[in-house]
Amino acid sequence: MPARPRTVLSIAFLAGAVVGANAATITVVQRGLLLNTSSLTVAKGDRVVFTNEDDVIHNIHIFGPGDDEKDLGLQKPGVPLSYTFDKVGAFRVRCNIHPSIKMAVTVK
Amino acid sequence: MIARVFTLLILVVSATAPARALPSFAVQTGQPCAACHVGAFGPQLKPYGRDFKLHGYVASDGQDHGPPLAMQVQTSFTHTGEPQAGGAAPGFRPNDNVAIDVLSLYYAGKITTDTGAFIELAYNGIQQQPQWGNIDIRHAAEGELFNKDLIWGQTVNNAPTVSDPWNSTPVWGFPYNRSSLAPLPMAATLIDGELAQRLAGGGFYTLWNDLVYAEFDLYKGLAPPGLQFVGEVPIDAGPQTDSVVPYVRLAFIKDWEKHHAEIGAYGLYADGVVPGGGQTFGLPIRATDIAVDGTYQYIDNPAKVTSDMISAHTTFIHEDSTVTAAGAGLLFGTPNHALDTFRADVSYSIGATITPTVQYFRTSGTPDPIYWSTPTGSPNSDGVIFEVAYVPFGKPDSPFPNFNLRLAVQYVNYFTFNGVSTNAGANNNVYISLWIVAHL
Repeated sequence: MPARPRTVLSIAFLAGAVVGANAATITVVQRGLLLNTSSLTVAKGDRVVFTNEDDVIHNIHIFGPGDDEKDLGLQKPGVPLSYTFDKVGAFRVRCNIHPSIKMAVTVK
Repeated sequence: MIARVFTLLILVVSATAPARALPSFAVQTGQPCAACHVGAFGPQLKPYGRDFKLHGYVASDGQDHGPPLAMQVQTSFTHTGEPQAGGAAPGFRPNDNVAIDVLSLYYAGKITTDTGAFIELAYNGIQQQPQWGNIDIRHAAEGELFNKDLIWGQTVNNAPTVSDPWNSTPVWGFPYNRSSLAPLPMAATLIDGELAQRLAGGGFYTLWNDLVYAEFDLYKGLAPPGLQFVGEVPIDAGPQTDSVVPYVRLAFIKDWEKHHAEIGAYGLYADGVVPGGGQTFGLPIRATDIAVDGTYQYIDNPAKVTSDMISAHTTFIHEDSTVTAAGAGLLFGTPNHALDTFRADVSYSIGATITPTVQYFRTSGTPDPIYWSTPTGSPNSDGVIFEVAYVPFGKPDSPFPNFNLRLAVQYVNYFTFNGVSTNAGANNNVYISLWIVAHL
């Protein structure tokens, strides 16, 4: 028997709350025009915070499965930016200004 | 003989194209000059500057800044140890000359997503002649090979080593500018700037795993109408060839913590080259240049583009040349000549504002009074160069992101000049230069 719409919505809300409650926040440091890690494995819904400990601007782009691309915008020194990985798959992170700032992210 | 020596001198002077730093790159990337350049002014590259070049001059902050156009003015004062009879150059006094060395217009930056360019069109204020400068147009791509990062690309350029990302090779090596109104040693290898702007070509380059760099280019010498068109005049002041000139480059690099090191080799082979200035009375030579080089850089605080920094370079070039015409051994002391050039420099950049540099240089080779036209028949010269450069802008807190300048005082001291050590100091010179660069 198909679930009634109200029941489906309730389950979806609860599932989202559970994911939100368990979601982790991982900090990745940009310093010396490098990231402090070259790869990362996170769970769906985890949030990654990118710091900027350099004295120049950065421009993080996140390339997801397929042609998905997210531009986090220009990032001034000292200002953190974050991105929540809400899709499973393999992602690439890189600064559009500094090709040496790059890493792979696997979302499970 | 005097006319021949003077012509040779002019060809060496004209082959020493000044190098540049460009605000159009800074505007495109949103980075201050100090992010790419040691001392906040080109052409000496830091690791990010090399990365930017290898990726085809296309990295950007994603904003629309219009065409990447820039201009440069370079002015100078030159004092030599002794006045030069007849004037330092046509239209200049024997000594203590003020000059506008060069005015340049650049297209320097992104053309498409993967293609960028460094194109210089210049007006040579010493020769009072418009001409092309250094040109490097490149397309770059990224991928993986054996699960390691790979960058590869194509370059179209007009000088062997202009495409090289290290400052240990000739085109972008120290001194980054020098007086065109002071005497220069007349002997130089082909790869050491002699063929620059007198040929054109292109090739492929690759960097694998941030470890191995390789490049292969093929050039074709410009015919006299082509040399005339690009402003390389007098046409016979420099070497001419209609042959294909292959150039090869291999380097190994290592970055760790605050350090960058590079060791490599490069070379070219040229046949059918007629040296400029009537050096061989129009007879062609065949030459093989083989060189090794090294770079070491230490950045005290990699998170600060204004960090203090040590930068050192060295190169050794060996050239074997043969005058290929039958009977050349009767005309010259020998048809075969060797020429070696060694250079080593070290600089310490203080806050990307004040950068003192010292260099030792030496050229030596097979003596031959007819071939070299020096008083003793020796091509040997050696000496040291001291320089202090001051760059007030080009840092993160600079008020003029579209503008920069470099004031430098340079002293060149010869121990030996064209085979003669007695009175070599007559050729010593003080060169005070002011470069102004701006984004248009």
